[in-house]
Amino acid sequence: MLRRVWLVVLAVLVIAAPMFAGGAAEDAEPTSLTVWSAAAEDEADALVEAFSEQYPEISVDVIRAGSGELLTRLRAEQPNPAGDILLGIAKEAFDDNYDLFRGYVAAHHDEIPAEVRDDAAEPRYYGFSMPLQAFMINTELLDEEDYPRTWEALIDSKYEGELILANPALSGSAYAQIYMMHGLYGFDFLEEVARQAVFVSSSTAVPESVARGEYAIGVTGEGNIARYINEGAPVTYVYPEDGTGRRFDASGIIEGGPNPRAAELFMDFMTSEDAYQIILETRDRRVVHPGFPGPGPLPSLDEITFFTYDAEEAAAMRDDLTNRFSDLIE
Amino acid sequence: MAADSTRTQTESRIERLLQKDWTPYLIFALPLLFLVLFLFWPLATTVLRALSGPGFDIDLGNLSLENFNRFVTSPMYQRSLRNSFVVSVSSVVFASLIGLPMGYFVARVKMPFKNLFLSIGILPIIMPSFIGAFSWVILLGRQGIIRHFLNQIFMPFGIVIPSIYGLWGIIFAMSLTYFPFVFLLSYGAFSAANPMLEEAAMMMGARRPRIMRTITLPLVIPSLGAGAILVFIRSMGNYGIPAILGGDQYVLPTLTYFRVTGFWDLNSAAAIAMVSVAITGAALLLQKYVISRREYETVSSSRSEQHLHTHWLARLIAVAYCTLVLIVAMLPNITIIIMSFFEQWRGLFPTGFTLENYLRIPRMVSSEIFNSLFLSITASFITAVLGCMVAYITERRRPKGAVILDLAVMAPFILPGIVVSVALLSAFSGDTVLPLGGTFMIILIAFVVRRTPYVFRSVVASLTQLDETLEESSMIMGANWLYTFRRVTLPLIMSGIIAGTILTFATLLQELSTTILLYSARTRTVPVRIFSAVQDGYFGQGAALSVMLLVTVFIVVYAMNRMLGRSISSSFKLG
Repeated sequence: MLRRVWLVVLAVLVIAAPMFAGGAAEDAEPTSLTVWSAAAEDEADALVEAFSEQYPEISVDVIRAGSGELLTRLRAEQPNPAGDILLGIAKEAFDDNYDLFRGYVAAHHDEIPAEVRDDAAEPRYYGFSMPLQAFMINTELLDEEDYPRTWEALIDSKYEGELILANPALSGSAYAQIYMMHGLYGFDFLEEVARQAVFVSSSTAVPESVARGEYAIGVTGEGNIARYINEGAPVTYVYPEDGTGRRFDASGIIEGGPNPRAAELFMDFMTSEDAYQIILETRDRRVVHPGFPGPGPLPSLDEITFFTYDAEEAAAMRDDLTNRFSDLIE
Repeated sequence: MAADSTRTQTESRIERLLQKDWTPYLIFALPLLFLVLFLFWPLATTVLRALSGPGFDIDLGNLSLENFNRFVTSPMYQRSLRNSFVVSVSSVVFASLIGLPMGYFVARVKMPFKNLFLSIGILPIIMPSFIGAFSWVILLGRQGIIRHFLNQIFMPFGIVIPSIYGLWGIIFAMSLTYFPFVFLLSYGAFSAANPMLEEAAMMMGARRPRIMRTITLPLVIPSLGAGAILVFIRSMGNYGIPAILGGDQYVLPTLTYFRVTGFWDLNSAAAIAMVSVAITGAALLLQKYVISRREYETVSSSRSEQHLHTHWLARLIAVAYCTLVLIVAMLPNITIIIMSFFEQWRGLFPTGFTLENYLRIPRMVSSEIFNSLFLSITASFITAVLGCMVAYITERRRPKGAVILDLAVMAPFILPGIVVSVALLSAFSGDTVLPLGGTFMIILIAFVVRRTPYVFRSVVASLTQLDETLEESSMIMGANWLYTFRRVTLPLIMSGIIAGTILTFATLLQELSTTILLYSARTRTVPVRIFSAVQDGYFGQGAALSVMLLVTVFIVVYAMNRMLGRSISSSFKLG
């Protein structure tokens, strides 16, 4: 019995030995590319497929994880990160980690408005999509005349226990929600919201809970609402009449990545209309390119009221506001 | 003359050195080297990070306690700390209340399907993160199917079943997830306890309850302690269940997650992790203290057969109890199995029957399946060897600082996976002496350092209950250390090693938090795919992949129990 166990161990180790030899080969000609993606799997796959049609000689690997994990990994792997491109993380995350990315003027630079890319001469990131924050409402739990139409309406006592949001410490979009409420109605208003709503620690839980009817109202990115509408869940959207912020997700080239030339080719592709068409269609995301309509079931930009979102002020206040607010939650 | 005598002195000294049995030291040098390289390194960097102030860089010149400030100033931190403590302690209590009787029944009552009970008994632990917690929502949420029907039954009596959200929901789900630790470990102890002690008491006229209280239960305390500490640590570190069921009741892992995903502030996350390590360390010391107050020798040189309860009532109660517990605990797994055949499950019932979730598996994830199996199996074997040796060192050699060694082995198990991964990444990726970034090796190392405690704890428990005179008599009879270890100690603790290894394998198969930072395109595993599917809203797809893992674990455990044949009762016998 024992001897057999040892033999198995030995056999496994011998067979496994060659697999331990690691390290990627580096070539002068671009033959490979590693994309770190916080975007959805089908989205990244569709983009990579279209890119590979143009550059069949470049083999592309996609590493999927949440943006927090990807940035943590990127920092831990300094100064020689194994990824070339970071795909689809919030603009604020790029700003906070600016020195980890490399500037590059992409092929379609002039088609992308300065508000939806890094405004440096050599932008370190270009816009990907615009995850506008909106209300997701379960149509079986609320009648249309009872829908909240404004941020201000959220503190109406009739919504007590029916409101679900993500904790602002969780992500840039969750923070944007309370930053906007704070900008519009001040900290006292946030206290009311904290008393009224549930602030969960999983962003996936917000749209899923509303779709299931666990809660009547959730505040989430519009892309989630579109997806559940398409899947036939009993939900609809309301864009707050007192405005929602114009924020965007972006992609950029990782400084010191193994395949710099292939990364530049990929950024050229990511700023092309082909790529934006894929982003729009695969997941019903609102793209930053001005030539495109609103996504699937969602309204176009001119039907939505905007809140003047001061990204710099938002970033400066973030730590303090998040901490003060989180302490209110009971 | 003088030179001569020095030479003979030196010679005799060398001779003595040669005569001394160095085998144990040579054999132990290897695991200790591994520990120093891969275990103390993550620990040391974590401590330094925690003391370095917020951010990502380790700043040796400027150490402070700033990262711990929020535990003093912030109500959210204080509440989370309290919640974590309440959740872990309650989960230990309830898991023990559920698991201990079950261990006793399966070990001591003559009943059918023991093999099956033991094999299924491990499955609740294999709760794939997020999908598992979501399945409690599907069952007991506000729109949950079980809650709906229970309410229809009880509503006329004015009883309304509350939905699962909140602290009690977390405790409920965690107890049912982690009770198998207590069940499996106490089962082993109950079936290993020397029946002569109980027989002696019976002959002296003691009644059953008195024997239970004064002999049987005290004998299983080391294993109960080992199980309890595993439950404590796992519930302390669980993020998925509170995230989905807790509403805005936060726990320490929630705070860690906030710092990492929201602020890329690994140092503060490390500080929060240090607080969990401290609490767990205290629990570990308490457990050691409780156990060390007595001597336990359930396995001794003289043995006789265990007498099983055969009364029909005892058998009925035992089978009914075990079946009921397993059905309730398996509800999330059953939900996942059902969900895997449907497109979605949003209303009361799932909709859109399909086999597509399974049909996609072969073309989607065949290399991931190989990677998952390869990594989990290899890491389990390494863990078995390493855990067994370190346990032997701390228990039999009892070096100075054995407690530190003990805590050092346990710490990476307590630390959040992301913290361990970052330590390994910053040490072994890029231009280092040992470039391991993107290899299988770095994942294996992470797996081994994070899972050694299963084998370690179960072998420590085995050794505590193993009468040292057995080993001593072998040595006295002239056997050297290696022979004694191979022929006496190892066979007696083998069951402990196997039990620990099975737990390791089962939990590694679904490990995500370390892999997500370490994997490359070549080394992607099945749980990474499950994570992706759940993130993208394809619950059916994620469920099908999870079912595949569940079935794999079941087959391995069942085969293990069968292969060991008659000694099936010893596969979880932790001495």
